[in-house]
Order: sequence, then structure tokens, then C-alpha cells
Amino acid sequence: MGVSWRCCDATACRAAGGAALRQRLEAEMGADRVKPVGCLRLCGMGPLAAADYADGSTELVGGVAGERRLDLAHPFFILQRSVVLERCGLVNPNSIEDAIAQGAYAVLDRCRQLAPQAVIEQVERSGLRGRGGAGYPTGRKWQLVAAQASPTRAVVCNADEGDPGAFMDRAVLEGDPHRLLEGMAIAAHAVGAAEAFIYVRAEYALAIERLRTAIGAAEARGVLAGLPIQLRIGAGAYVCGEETALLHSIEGGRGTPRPRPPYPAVSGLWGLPTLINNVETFAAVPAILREGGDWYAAMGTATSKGTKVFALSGAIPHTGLIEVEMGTSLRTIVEAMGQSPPGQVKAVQTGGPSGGCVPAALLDTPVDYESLQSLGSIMGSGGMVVIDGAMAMPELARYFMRFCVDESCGKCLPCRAGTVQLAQLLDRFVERRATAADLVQLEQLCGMVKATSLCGLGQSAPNPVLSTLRFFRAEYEAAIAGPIAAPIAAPIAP
Amino acid sequence: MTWVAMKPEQLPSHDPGDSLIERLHSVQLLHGYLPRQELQQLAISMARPLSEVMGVASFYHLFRLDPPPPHRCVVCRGTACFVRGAERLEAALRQRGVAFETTSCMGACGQAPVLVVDGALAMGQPEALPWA
Repeated sequence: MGVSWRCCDATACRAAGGAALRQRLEAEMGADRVKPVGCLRLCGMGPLAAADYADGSTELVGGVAGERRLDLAHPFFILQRSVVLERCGLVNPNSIEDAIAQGAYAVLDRCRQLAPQAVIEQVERSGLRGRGGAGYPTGRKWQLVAAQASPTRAVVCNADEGDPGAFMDRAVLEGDPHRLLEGMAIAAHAVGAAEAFIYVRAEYALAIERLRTAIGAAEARGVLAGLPIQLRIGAGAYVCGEETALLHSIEGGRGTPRPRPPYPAVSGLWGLPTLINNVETFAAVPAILREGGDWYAAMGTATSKGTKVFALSGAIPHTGLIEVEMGTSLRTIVEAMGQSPPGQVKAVQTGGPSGGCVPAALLDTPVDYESLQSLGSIMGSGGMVVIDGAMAMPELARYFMRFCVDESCGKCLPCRAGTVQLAQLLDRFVERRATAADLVQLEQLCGMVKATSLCGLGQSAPNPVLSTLRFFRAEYEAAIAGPIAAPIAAPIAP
Repeated sequence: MTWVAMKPEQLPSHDPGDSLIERLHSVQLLHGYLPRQELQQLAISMARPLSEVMGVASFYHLFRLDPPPPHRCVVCRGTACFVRGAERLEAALRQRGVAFETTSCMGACGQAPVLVVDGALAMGQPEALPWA
């Protein structure tokens, strides 16, 4: 009867009734045979629980009564390649003992024996690029911070995961917080930082709780070797995901961005050279240092190495968290893993309000930084929302533009006023009262806002409009002609 | 002089207690919102002008300058929720006369559409509201 259960205790499964499933299992099996773990990936079928049998086999069930048996041989599971998420779903996120038993902090101990330059070299060899969306080479950033002439430096983790449709970082924070702490401590050793900060959005209550527990436990056991890691909680401002705005917010001020240079690597928190990386970037570091940079670089494509975590959601049967090798095609993700019937997908939205829509005709596009950029979208942090025929593209564009109106910090005019004007123009297309002049103005204004805004929020705010204009222009043109019978036009092949 | 221009040896303390945002969170946790006299007190105790304290308090969406209603209902307007009918959910709530706020994304996209009722995440059926 040697069976033990792992119950998903992350936000999504909690919302679906995870507590009831766990109580039921505990009553049936005994509390010592049931442990809480992080995300088990297939959130849409939640609450999830996995049973590990003595013979090594595993079974996954979903539903409050565990009534759905889920097929672990499904492409959704077998096409995953877990690196960042290797312990997520296996380890009890509240137990440092469990994390250490599964290898946490072992790599950090080994890295401390190495010269900082040797650590940076492995990260450079790995080809890891920033997972927050911009894709800057991580090793180069570390090198730059380490090279600054300063008695001390700071390490900052950007956990302000604000893109609607993105929950990769939440999964890491909730499922394996010690992995992030280890990655940050390795980074601090490599760049010579004496203090570290994690800036996490206030909406992630459970992630904050897990991080507090993890930091307390790690400090009590002394595994961080005296590196103080402070948690700073955001207060609901999307723009704080921009690095200079984030630094202002940690310093306690309004989260407004400032022009760069100087880049934070030169002058960041309180003027110190500051290394800022995203959660997923730091979380990839322990595996890279354990297996070597070349091992990581062997995965992925020529310019985008390793694996990437995506949050798959929207009009698709299998919604949840996936980690796949870079270069996997959107079709594989959406049709094989997400189990979307062929022909049902209209577009895949990547990169949130800064990204764009890849039309169904281009689903064979490999997912890497350059391919998505060439289509007018971006990799972004990893949100992937599947759009079906029920959604009109001008409406989707307006949704994102309204988001940018709400979240613009107001510091620079092109973003503050431009997004409002763009949203009003989009209103006309949604309500089918646009004129030909509106279409011209829409495109001109998009170009202006993109070119002249101060920070990434404004510079990328027009992307959802431009990308839907590029692939679904007929829908905008149909809104000019006045009311028509068929509400949705077919996407145009490029 | 701005902090950026300071030399490292002149750095202010980096304690959470010295962060205005952290202290605003504490006040809001205690009162449910940021009462005016607390903000004035905070400005005095941190030796910063009230305008700066108000500037920070009003910048962030989660800080409330007015007392909250007895129950709080927040509808998620994330992309996944939008695609899966958050607008219909909002319409249903409006029809029932339930006052609600909206938020950008709760990160529970697998369960979309979702809403938060008195701090607990629920899946987006209007029936999930205890007082509806």
C-alpha cells in the first residue's frame, strides 16, 4: 500500500477547491502520506493531486473528489522539459528540509568555492537570456555589474509579474521558493553584492507568504552565508515591472521610470551598481551551475538557449503551466499540448500588453526571441493566451490599450495622452463607426507613441494594435464600412 | 540632493521600516485604508513632506484613501478572464447590484474567469458570492 500523495497547494488549485481534496485524502490515507506541493501544471483540471506508488509509478488525478484521472502520457506532460520547474510539484514549498533533501543550496555551496569570474563564465556559456521579456544576455549583465568600481553592489529580483495572462513566476515563488533564493545568492557571490531584494507584487499573497517562510528558514539555517535578502511588496502598479520604476518603488517612492542610461548595472538602488533579473532567470541559474553552461546551451535554438516556462490559457482545453525547450513550435504547444482542435484557434497572443497576436496560419513558428519579434510580437515574460473565433481583434486591441491607459504612470506625454487617444480611436472600430481617416490616424499615432515614449510600457503599448492590424486588417476595415452581416472576418494569410 | 547622487558611505538605511511603501502597507493593514491623519503622522515621523507621502499613496492602485465597503469583490480583468467572459460576469454582478472593483490579473488564468471575494479567490460564477 506504499502510496504517498502530493497535493497542489498553489493559488489556482486552491481556488478550485484544493483544500477539500487534501482533507479528503488526509482522512483516507493519514496526514503523513499527503504533502502540499507547488504547481502540478494542468491548472485547468484542478484541484490536482499526484499519487506516487512504491513501484515508482505515478498517477495524477483532478477534481475535488479526485474524480478525473489524468493521462500523464499526454503530450501536455511528456513534451515538457523541466529545468526551472524541476522541483516544482515535487517539493514541499514550506519545508527547507525537503528542499535541501532534493538538492537545494548544494550548488550554492559549490559556487562559493569558485572564483566569481568562473561562475559568470558558466552563465555566459549557457547563453541564458533575461526571462522577463527583453532577452538581454544574463552573463553579460552579470559581467557588467561585477566590473563596476564600487565597494558594494545590490542584487534585485523582479517578481512584479504584471502581464495579464502570465503566472510563470508565481508558480516558482509558490512552488519552489528556495530555488530563487539559491539563484540570487549565487548571483550575489558572482557580482560581489552584499544585499539583495525581492520585489514582489502585492496581489500574490500566497507567494509572499511562502517567500517570507523560505527567507526566514534559509537565514535561520545559515545557508545564505549572511546575504540579507529583503522582501519588498508592491502596491499595484504594472509600470513597476520596468526596472527603473521598480528601483524607485523599492526606495519607497512613486514607481515612475527614468531615462536610461545610466543603466541600473551602473547606477541602481541608492546609486549602487545593481543586478536586476527576473524570477525565472534566477531560477534557471542553479541548474546551469550544477550541470554546466554547455549543458544548458545544448537545448534550444541558435540564439535562444535552454527552456522557457509558459502560462497557457484562454480558449483552449488544457490550460496551465508548461516548460518547453526554446524553439518548440506554437502548433506543438497549442494543438498537441493544449489539445486545441485544429482549425479552432484564431490567434495566439504572446507577451501581454507589450506583445502581439500570431495568427493561426503562422502556428508553425518556433518560439524563440527572434522569431516572435519578426512577427511583431514578443516572447515577453511567457504569457500565452489562445484566442478563438469568438473574439474580434479590434476589441482585443482595445482591451490591451485600456489596460495601458490604466497603468500609464503619467510621467511622459506620449504614453499618458497617446494611450487615451488610441483607446478612443479603437472605440470607434469596436463600435463600427470608424472612418478611413481614423485608420490612418490610428497607425500614425501608434508609430508616434512607440517612438517617443520614455519607457517600455509606452514604447510597446501600440504592439497589440500594430500586430492585429498586420494580420487581421480586414476586421478594422470592416468596421469602417459600417455594420455588416458577418461579424468576424477570416484572418489574412501574410 | 537625490539618493542617486550620494556616495555609498552616505547611504540611508535600507531597513523595511524606512520604506514609505512598507509603512503605508502597515497602516492599511490596520485600518483597511489610509486615514488622512495617519498619513500626516507618517509624514511627520519620517520627516518628509505630506505632499510626498500623498504622492506615493495615490500613485499605487492598491492604496485606498477612503474606507472600504463591508464586503469586497474584485473581478479579474486579465486577458484569460477577458477571453473567457469576464465582461459577462461583470454584467451579471451589475444586474444583481453588487458593487465590485476590478484588477488586471490575479495569475490564476487556468481557472478563468475568476474573482476575489473578501480576500478569497473564487471561480467566476456569480453564485460564488455569499450575499448575492
